[in-house]
Amino acid sequence: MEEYINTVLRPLLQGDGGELEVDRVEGDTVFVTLRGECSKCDVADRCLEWCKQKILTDRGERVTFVATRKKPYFWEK
Amino acid sequence: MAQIKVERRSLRPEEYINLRYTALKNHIFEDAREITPVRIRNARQTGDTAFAFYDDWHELKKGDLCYTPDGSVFFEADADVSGFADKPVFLYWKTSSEVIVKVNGRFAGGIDPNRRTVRLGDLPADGLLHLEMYGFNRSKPDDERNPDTASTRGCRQEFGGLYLVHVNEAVQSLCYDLELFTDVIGSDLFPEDYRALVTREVDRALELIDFDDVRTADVQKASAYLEKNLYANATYKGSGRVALVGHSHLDLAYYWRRVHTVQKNLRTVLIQLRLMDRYPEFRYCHTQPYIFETLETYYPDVFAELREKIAAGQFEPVGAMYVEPDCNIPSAESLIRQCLYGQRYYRRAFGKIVDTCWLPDVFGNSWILPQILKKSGVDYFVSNKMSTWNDTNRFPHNNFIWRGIDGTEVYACVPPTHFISWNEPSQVAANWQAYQDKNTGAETLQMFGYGDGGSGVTEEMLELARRFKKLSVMPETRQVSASEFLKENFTPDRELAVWDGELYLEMHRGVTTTKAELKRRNRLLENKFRTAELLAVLRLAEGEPYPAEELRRLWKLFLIDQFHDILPGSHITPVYRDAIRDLTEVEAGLDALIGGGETLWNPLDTARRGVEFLPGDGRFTRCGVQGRFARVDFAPLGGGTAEAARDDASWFSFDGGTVATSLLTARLAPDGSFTSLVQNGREYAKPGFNALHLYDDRPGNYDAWDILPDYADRERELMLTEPLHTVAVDGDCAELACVLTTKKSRIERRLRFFRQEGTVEVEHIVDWHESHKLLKALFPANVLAREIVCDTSAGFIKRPLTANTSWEKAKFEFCTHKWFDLSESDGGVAVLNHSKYGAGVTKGVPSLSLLRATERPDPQADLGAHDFCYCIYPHAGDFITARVNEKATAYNAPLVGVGALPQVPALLREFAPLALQSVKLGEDGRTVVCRLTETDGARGELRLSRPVRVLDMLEEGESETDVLVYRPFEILTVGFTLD
Repeated sequence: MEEYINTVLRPLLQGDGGELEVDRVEGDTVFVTLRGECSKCDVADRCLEWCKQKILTDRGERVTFVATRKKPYFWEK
Repeated sequence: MAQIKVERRSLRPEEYINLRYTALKNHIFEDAREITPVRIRNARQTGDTAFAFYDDWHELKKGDLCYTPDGSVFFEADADVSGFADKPVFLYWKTSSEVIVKVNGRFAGGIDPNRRTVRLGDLPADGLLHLEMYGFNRSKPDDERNPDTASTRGCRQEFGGLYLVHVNEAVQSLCYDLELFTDVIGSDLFPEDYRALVTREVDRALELIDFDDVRTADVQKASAYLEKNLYANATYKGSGRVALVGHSHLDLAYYWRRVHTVQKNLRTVLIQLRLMDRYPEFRYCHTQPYIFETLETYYPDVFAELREKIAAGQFEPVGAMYVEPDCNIPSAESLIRQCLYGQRYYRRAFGKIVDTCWLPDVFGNSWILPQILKKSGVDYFVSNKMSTWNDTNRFPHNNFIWRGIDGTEVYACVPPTHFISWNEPSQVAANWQAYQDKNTGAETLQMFGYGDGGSGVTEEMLELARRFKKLSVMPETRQVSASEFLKENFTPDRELAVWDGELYLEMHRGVTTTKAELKRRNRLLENKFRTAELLAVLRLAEGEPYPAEELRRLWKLFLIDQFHDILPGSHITPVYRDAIRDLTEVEAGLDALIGGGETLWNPLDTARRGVEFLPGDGRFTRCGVQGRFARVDFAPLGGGTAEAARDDASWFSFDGGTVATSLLTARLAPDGSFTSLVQNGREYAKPGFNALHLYDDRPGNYDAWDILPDYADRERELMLTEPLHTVAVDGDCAELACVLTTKKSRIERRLRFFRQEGTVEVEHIVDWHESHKLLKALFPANVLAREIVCDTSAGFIKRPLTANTSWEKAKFEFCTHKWFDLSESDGGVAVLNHSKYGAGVTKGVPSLSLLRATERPDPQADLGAHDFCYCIYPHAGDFITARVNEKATAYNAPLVGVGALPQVPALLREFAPLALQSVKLGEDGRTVVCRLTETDGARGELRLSRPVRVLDMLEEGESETDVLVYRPFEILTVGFTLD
């Protein structure tokens, strides 16, 4: 799963200036950190939902994402 | 005593005007007719016009989500405008994506965050429209100029429906008036009493409209009221003259990949062409031959239209360079090729070259540029950054003469305000107010049009421009071409000031260091290009074909990656991957052209007498390559074999603190820094010389771009985990190593001493996992120097080590090429490098910037493995007599393995002391073109054994001579035919 996310999904998010790092996978729960533009995106939930659907389509697996946002210091308010 | 600030909390008149203006905008589009069904296919762009599709066509309904991360979308729909075409019909879609629209197979226009409609123009008799749309998810997140589309930003967007609409022209016209007047009201650049008048009269005009029942007749009354009471009021007089030039800045890659720029450019061009149809006064300029080339290749119909608009004088190609490159890091030869390939494209495509260099967004400009431009047919240089982005000093001129390192002068325009503007009255007024050369009598230049990712001028901007003429408080404005503006305002009779020096940008000082691997490859490949072309010419002389097409292809690919958001490192992760892929391809291509062999050949036109690294058997590993060091003694462009390897290590001793060789004695600290470096009885170092320093590097939002002046106040610890120890010694070289670490990173330093040379090479093998850090090597030398001398690649520039003035203080970080030097008149120290460009003055001490760890725009920037060398060169005499530039050139141009030594035409060895910067077959396919550079700041003449043609940098010129007269820092181009 981690390799799939790193090689398939992560480059897509990077294409929009975002970044998705897999912290760990526990069962069907994927813990990720959103960085870059994803860290402040208003619709990141929609994006992760799309990622879930893509995983289901590509791998036939249902997962849940638990995402933490890590903004660079200059975007913290 | 308590202070109570009087603050109005109730609705202000100007706020009430804005509310009604916003309400009125909702009445611009009317008779909306939803187009259904809309079919969609999701894809990801994989090439200039290639896509990988995720799915097949399926229906997209209002409220559905569309677009995917890094996604492209194709839409299609059919519509019937029968009974709807009594008025102009528009396609309407509110989106923050970038959309190209085709109607019945023809490109019709574009939609993007700056416009929601495409005017559908001539409609077919049957009223049936087949719509095809391509959309790219606009991903530039820091462009928040348009709040209207903020709600629709992001990878996944809610589809709000696609419509056919009519435009209520009366409402739209009044909205343009309100855009104009609300901007005036909100700007303190206009007189307070005038703004009070405008506020009162706009309010009265809006009172004529019932906002519960907006009627066109009332709107027309309001417009008429404004016409009579504001436009006709000439009591208030503005001053100044501002030339308005439409432009759209288009980064080839930034928050998007280069492949996306092909369609960004198409959309931008389409939009401008359609505006030109309706606004004959509209003048627009467009840069970068590369993107014209993509348009010509992939969209010939649109390109044909563009050509017509060029012929009509509305669409203007500007900017001689192939792309808008960084103008600090590329070498002189690269910048010349930017002009050569750019101008050659323009000549082929449009029948003429351009006389402008158009670089609005470039992060400072090297002093070597003026003569390169002038000799490439360019008289005018345009660049905005210094006036609008300097963080310390206000750049003192906008229209001036820029004198280059060799004394060549070009006209320079650095407009007072930003190159992306939306043509609001306040922006025009601000430009005039900021303009610093008013007393020359010249106009000031205002570029207008959305940019960074293209988009360009909008209808609103052109409508505002028409209204400026009716607004007496405005400066006098006119829409002109860039060429008209430049020719009319830069004339010998004007007393233009002269700026003699580099155009240093007091910002973005980190871009010479960020993404070190791109910089390393840039230097490496510039040298490989030189070797490959030189060898190809020599082989041509021996009867082999010259690989002109392949070299041109490789050069163009390389030049693209010198774009000012690629080579400087200010881009997202995929752009970096693309660049690395490109540069790998270029390197493989050049290696194939260079070939190989066992015989060593010196590609330089200077004698090679020193220690060289020779890959092969040996005890040393340098930058991942095994080999040995040996002395060679090769003639210019000659070669042979190196001295044999020796095992006798008696020339070297190291007692854990002091190194002694026959040429130097050095006391070293465990971290690889020097406390003393003595050569011929002279001390060159102070304690801490060559020490590594790690700083907290937090410049804020411009993370990849900037280094702040106070970085040195926040130093972080480097732990010594392996003190300096001996790794290997043979008869020519001794290698010591130490290891420094942080919690996340490891830095191995290898110091190399040589039996037959008094230099010290320092290699760094780094596993880098920092966040917001800057790694520097500091060189506190025992040299009384007030200036640091830096290589520009074609001559040197002296920069202050002092901080007496704000101008000196601001230059705390700058670009250098192969070397920098600190000299007294009889001795000094140079630091030669083969992959670095950032240098600075750190608390008064010269420093070389090695690595950064930035997070925006690329969270992965610079993380991972690095391997780089520099060389410490203590010398007698100053940097000229010590031949520092020659030594650094050799350090960057390793010996080449060839099958047999090539035959070298005698002429190629006659150009010394000029450096043979480049040798190539001319673009005419017949002339051997040699580029000769004076690098020491001397003048003289060369008497040659045969006449040569004197050429410009476009390889044109007919005069012949056998006596070449040169001046300091001159770059000459000469040509001859092979016997």
